[in-house]
Amino acid sequence: MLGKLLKYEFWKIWKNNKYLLLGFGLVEFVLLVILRLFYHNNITQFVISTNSEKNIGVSFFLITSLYFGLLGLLFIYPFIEGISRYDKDLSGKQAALELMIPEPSWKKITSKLIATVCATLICTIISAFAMTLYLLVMSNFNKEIIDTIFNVLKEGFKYPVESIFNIINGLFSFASFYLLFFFCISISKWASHKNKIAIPISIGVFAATIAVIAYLQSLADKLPLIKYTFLGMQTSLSSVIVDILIFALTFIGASYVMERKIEY
Amino acid sequence: MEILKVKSVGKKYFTKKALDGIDLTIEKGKIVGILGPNGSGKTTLLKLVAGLIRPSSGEMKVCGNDIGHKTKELIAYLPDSDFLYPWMKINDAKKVYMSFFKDFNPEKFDELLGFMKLEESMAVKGLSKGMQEKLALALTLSREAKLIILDEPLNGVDPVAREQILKAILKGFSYESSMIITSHLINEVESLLDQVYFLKEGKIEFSGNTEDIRSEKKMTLDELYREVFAC
Repeated sequence: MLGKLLKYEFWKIWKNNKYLLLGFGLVEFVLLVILRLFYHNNITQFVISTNSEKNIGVSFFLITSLYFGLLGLLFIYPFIEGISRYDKDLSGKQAALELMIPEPSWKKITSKLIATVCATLICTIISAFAMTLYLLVMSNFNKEIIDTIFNVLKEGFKYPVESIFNIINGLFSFASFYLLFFFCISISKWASHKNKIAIPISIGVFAATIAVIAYLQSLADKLPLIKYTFLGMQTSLSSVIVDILIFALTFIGASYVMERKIEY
Repeated sequence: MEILKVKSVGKKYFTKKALDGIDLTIEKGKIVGILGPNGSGKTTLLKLVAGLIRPSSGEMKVCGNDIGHKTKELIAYLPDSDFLYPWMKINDAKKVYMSFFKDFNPEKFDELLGFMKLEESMAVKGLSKGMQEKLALALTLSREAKLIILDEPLNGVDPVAREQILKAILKGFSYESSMIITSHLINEVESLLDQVYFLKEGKIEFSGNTEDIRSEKKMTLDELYREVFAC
C-alpha cells in the first residue's frame, strides 16, 4: 500500500505543478534562444577571455539574471510546495479525502516525505542541467567548458563510494529537513486549523525544536563516543546517533500527531 | 447485527461541549437520520464515527472494531464540503477511490454516474455545486462499505437534483450495509429513514423508529421536528 500512496503523492505533485514546470521550461528555452541569437558573440568572448571589464550590455545582464533567477526559484520551489502541500493535506479542503484513506499515518508521512525529497532532487537536477546548458550554449559548446564538465562528472565516477555516500547523506539531510517542518506543522495543526494561531505555534515549535537539536548536537560534540574520519570527514559515532535520533523522533512525532491528534 | 455502537460519547472543544453523552446503535440494513438545527452537533458526530476527529469521552465501535484507520475501510463518508481536488477529472477521482478503497465498485460507479448524467471526462472545477454533490455521492455510494455516512447530501442542491440524489441514494443502498444521513430537509429524506435521532445542543433529544413515530404520534417527522425544536 505504501507503493499506492507514493504513486498518489507523485501524481498529485505532477498534476498540481505540470503547467508551472512546462511554463518554466518554455520561458527558460525562450530566454536561452534569445541569448544565443543576440548575445552569443559577446558571451563567448566574455567566457573565454574572462575579461570582466568587457561591456556585455544591460539587456544581456537582465535576461541572464531572469534565466538564473528562475533557476533559483525552481531550486527552492519544491521546498515551498512540499511544505504547503503537507499543510493543506492536514487542514485544507481536501484534508477529508487525505484523512479518509485507510492507511496508518506513518505510511502517509513516509510517502509524502519520499515524494517531496524526490521532487527536490528532480528540481535540483533540472536546475543543474539548465545551468550547464546555459554554459554550453552560450560558449557555443566550447571544448574547454565541455572538458571541465566531463572532468567534474569523471571525478564522481572515479570515487563511487564517496559519491554514493554523498548522495545518501544529501538525501538524508533533505529528508531530515522536511521532517522537521512536517513535525512543526503537525503540532501546530493539532493546536488549531486557523492560520492566525497555527502559524505562530508552528514558528514557536520550530524554534524550540532547533534549540533542542542544537543542544543535542553540542552534547554530541562535547562527548564524542568514537571519533573517526570517513571519506575525509571528521565525525563521531555520537554525532551520527544524534542525527538518526532527531530523524526518528521527528518522524515518530509527526506520525503520532497525525494519527491521534489531527482533527478535521 | 450491530454495525455501529456509540456509548456515552462526548466531544469537547476546550470548554465548549459539542456532544454530550451520545448513545446510539445502528443495525444492519437500516437507514438512520440524524436531524437537528445548525450547531446541534450532527457533523461532529459523523466526523467522530468516520474517524476524522476523536471523542473526548465514551466509546464507539464499528462492526466491533474501535475507531481507527482500520474502520476507515468499513466506512464510506461523504463530507459536507468539497473534498476533491479541483484539477481532478471525474476519472481521476474514480482512480483514487479504486486504488485506496478495496470495496469500491467501479461498475456501480459508472452506473451511478450515468444515472446522474455525469461523464468521466468532466473536470471537478467545471462542475456546478449540485454536480459536485452528485459526484461525491456517486463515489461514496459506489463503495460497498458496511456503514455509509452522508453529511447533508442535499445541501445547496436544486429541487430537481435533490430528487435525483434521493433516487441515487435508494439505488445505491444495499441492505448488507447501514446508512446515516443528516439533513435539514426533513420532508425530503423522511421517506428514506427507518430510524431517527433528533440532536439538540449536543444531546439526543428524541429518538425512535420512524414508522412507530408516525403511527403513535400521528404526525410526520417534519411536524415532530418542529415540535421538538420549537423555542
